[in-house]
Amino acid sequence: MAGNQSNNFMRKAVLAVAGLVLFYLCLYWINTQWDAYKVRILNLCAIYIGITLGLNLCNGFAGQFSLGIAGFMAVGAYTTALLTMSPQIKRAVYFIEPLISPLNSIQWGFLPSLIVAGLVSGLVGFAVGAPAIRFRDDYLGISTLGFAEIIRVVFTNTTHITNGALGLKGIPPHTNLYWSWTFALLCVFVMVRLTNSSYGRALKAIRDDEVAAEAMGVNLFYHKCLAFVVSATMAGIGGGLLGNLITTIDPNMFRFPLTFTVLMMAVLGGLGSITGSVISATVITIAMEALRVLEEPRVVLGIFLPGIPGMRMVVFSIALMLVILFYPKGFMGDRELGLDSFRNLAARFRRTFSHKQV
Amino acid sequence: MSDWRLETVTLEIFMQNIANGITLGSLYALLAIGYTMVYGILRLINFAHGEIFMVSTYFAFYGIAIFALPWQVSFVLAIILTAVMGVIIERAAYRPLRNAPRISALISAIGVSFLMSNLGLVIFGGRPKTFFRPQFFQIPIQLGSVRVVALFFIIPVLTVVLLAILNYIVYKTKIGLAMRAAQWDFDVARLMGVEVDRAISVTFAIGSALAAIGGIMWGLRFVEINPNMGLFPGLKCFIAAVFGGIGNIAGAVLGGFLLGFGEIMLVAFLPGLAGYRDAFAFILLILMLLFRPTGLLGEKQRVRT
Amino acid sequence: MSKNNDSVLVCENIGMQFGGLAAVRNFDISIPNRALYGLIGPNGAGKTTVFNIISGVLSPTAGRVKLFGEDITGLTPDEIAKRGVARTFQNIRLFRDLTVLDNVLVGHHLRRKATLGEALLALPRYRKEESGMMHTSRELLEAVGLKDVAHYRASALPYGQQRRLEIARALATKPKVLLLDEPAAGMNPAETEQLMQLILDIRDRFNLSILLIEHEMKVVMNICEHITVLDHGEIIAEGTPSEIQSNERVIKAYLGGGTIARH
Repeated sequence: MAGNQSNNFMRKAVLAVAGLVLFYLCLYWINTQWDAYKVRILNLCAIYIGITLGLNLCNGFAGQFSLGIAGFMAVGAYTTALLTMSPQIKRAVYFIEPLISPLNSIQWGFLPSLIVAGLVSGLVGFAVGAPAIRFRDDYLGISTLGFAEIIRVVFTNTTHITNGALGLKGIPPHTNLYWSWTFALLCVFVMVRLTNSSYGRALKAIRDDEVAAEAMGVNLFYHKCLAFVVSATMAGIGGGLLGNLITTIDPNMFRFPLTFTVLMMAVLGGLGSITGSVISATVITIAMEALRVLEEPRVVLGIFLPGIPGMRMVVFSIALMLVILFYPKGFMGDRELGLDSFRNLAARFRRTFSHKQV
Repeated sequence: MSDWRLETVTLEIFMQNIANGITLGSLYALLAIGYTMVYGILRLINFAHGEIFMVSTYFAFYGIAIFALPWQVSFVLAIILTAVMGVIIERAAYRPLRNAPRISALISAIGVSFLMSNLGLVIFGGRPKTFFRPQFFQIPIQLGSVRVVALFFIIPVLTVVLLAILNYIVYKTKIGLAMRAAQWDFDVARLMGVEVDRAISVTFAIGSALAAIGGIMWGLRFVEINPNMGLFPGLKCFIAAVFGGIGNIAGAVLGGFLLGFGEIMLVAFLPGLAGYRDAFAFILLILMLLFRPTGLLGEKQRVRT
Repeated sequence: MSKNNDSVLVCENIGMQFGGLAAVRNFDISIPNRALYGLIGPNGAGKTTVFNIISGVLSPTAGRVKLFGEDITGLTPDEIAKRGVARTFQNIRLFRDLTVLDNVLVGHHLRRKATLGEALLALPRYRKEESGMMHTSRELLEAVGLKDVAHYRASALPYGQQRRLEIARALATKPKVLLLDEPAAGMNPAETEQLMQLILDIRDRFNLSILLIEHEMKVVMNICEHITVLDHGEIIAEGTPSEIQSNERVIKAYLGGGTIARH
C-alpha cells in the first residue's frame, strides 16, 4: 500500500518536473521568436491569470464579494515601481515635489521589490478585510470599493510619495515572460493547494453558509482575513509586474473599470473554478487587444471606418450580462480540468477506437 | 503636502457655501431616495441608478438640442423616459435573477451600470456637453449681501415638494401600501393580494423619475454633462442612503443632505484637503458600517438563523 | 433541579430579551454525561432560541451557560464548538455546493493541528492528518448510512438524508454535547424509526450527551430520559416521559393533548 503511494508520488513528481522543463523551454522559444507585441500580450495574460485567481479566491471560493482589487493592484504597482526605479529617473519624474527619503535614493532588484510589494498589499488586504468581517455581500462590495477609492485618492494627493496625479514614468521594464508566467504558475499552485486543503474547504463552507460554518468551529475572522490577504497579495504582485511591464502608472489606471475587468474575467470563467479563471483571463486579455480594432479608426477595403471608443467595454459588458443571466456559473462553473479529466478523455478515446476494430 | 489649515471666510462666502451645500444636499437626497426605495424592496444595490441619472440629463439635452422642444416639454419628457428606462432595466436585468444567489444580482447590477456608461460613451461621445441654461433659472435674487440665481431656491423647494408628494404616495395610496408590504415579505404580500411585481415596477419608476429630476437640476446647476458623470454621485448617494438608514426614505433624505453639506463644508473650510472630497463619502461609509451599521434612522435588524 | 458535579452542560437562569419581548426566561437545565434529554413545547416557545444561546449564536441577556464547569456564555460559536458543543439546525444548513464527504470533512477542520503552511506544501504532518480525517469522515458517513452518496453534492440529497448528513457533520467536530434541532421533521414513520435508533447508537458509540428539540412525540417519548417543556419562553414542566404525558399544564399548552401520542 505504502509502496504504491510513493510510486504514485514519484510518478506525479516526475511528470510535474518534465512539464515544467517543457514549459520553460516553450517560453524561451517564444521569447526569442515572437515579436514584441505578441510577447507583451502573453505577459499580460499571465499577469491577469494571477490577479483573476486572486479575485476568484476571495469572491468565488470564499464568497466574499470584494470590489477592491484595483486598490491592491495599485499598492503593489506603486511599491514595486518606487523600489525599482533608479534615483536619477526619480529626480527627473518628481519635479513638483521631490520623493521623500530614503525612497529617493534606493534602487532594489526586482525579486525583493516584488516580495515587498506582495507583503505590503497583503497588509493592506488585512486592513481592508478585517473590519469588513461582519458585512453582508452588498455592503462588503461597496465598502471594499470605497477602500479602493480611498487608496486611489490618497495616491493622487500624496505627491511627495507617489508623485500624485502625474504618475510615475520610466519604471524599469523588468517584467518578461519568465517572471510573469512563473507568477501565474505560482498562483495556480497556491490556489490548487489551498482550495483542495482543509482550509479551502473551510473557505467554501463560509461561502455556502457562514452561520453553519461557524457552528462547526470555523473561525470566521481568521479565514475571511486569509482570503483577503492572499487575494490582495496576488493582486499586489500582479500589479507590480504590470507596472514594470507598461513602465508608466498613474492613479487613474486603478479605478473601477479595472476591477470590473478582473471581475468579468472571474465571472465568465466561473467563480469557483481555477481552470475557468486561467482560461478566461487568457481569452479575455487577448480579446481586449483584438477588439481594440473596434476602437481605432482603420481603413478596411478602402473604406474609412472611424473608431468607436468605448465599444470594447460595451461588448464585454454585454457578454457579462448574458453570462450572468443565462449561464451564471460561467464557463467552467466550479469544475476543473485536472489530470483525471485528461485520463477520462484518453480512456474514452481508446474505447471508441477499440470498438471500431471489433 | 495636505494642508490642514482652517480657512477664514467672510459672511458672504459663508452664505454662498451654505447655498451650495443646500443645493448639493438636495440633489444627493433626490438620488439617494431611489437607492433606498429599491434596496428596501429588493435588497439590491441598484448600481445602475447613477447611470439612470446620467441618461436623464442626456434625454433632456437632446430634447432641446435635436428636437428643438421647449425646455419645459423636454424636461418632462426626459423624466418620463427615464422612469420607463428604470422599469425596463428592472424587468430585463433584475427580475430574472430574483431567485438567484444575491451575488448574481449584484454582478448584474454592476454589469448594467458599466454597460450604460460605456454605451453612453459610444452614443453620446466622450466630450462633455454643455447643458442648456433657460433664463427662468437664472433670474437673480438678492438675499442681503448675497446674490444667487433662482436655481438655488428652486432646487431645495422642488425637493421638499417632491418629498411631500412621495410621502403621500407611499403612505396614503394603495400602491404605496403595496410597496411597503412588498418590502417586508413577498410571499405574504402576494397572499394578501398585493401585486408584488407591479409594486416593484412602480418603485423603480418613482426612483428613476426622482433621479431624472435630480439629473436635470444637476445639469442646470453644474452645466457640464458627460457619460461618466453618474458613477461618483451614484456611489456617494448610495452611501448617503446607507448613512441615513437604508430602506428608510427620510433617512435617505437626511443622509443626502448631510453628505452634500459635509462635502461643501469640507472643501470650504479645509481647502488643503479638497482633493479628498470624493473619499469623504467612503470614509464616512466605513466609519458608519463599523460603528452604527443600521444608519442614523436605521431600520430594524432581522435576527439570523 | 439537581446540579450534579458531573453535569456536562448546565444552563443557569438563562434569559433572552429582544427589545420588549422576553423570548426566554429563567431557563435552567443540567445535563449529565451520556444523557438523552428532550426539549419540547409549542411553536414559538423559545426552544431554538435556547439552542442559539448554548451554541453561541446569541448572547443571553441574563444567566450563564457552563460546559464542564467552564463558563462559555457569550463565546463565539466557533469557540464553543472547539470546547465540545455541536448542533444541527431546524432549517437544515448544509454546505450545499460541497460534496457530502466535504461537508463532514469541514467538521474536522477545527481539530486540525497542521498549519496553513504545512497544508500548502503538503508536508507529512498535514498529509497524515488529512488521511486520518478522510478515514474518520467515511466512518461517520457509514454510521449514518450515507456511505454510498459520499461524492454527491449535498443539495442533491433527499431531505431525510440531508438531516442525517447534518448529524454526521456535527459529529465530526468530536463534540461532548450534541444539540439536535428537530431532526425528525419531515420524515416518514420508517425514517423516524431509523432516526431514533441512530440517535441511541450515536449516544452509545460516541459517548456524548444529547439535547433534542422535537415535535414528533413518538421520538421524544421513546428515547428521551428527561424532558423539559417550554411555553412562551418559560419552563412549565420537566420530568420523565410518563410524568410529562400526564401533566395537565403540558396538555393544555399543546391545545387539548391531541398531539401527545401514546407509545
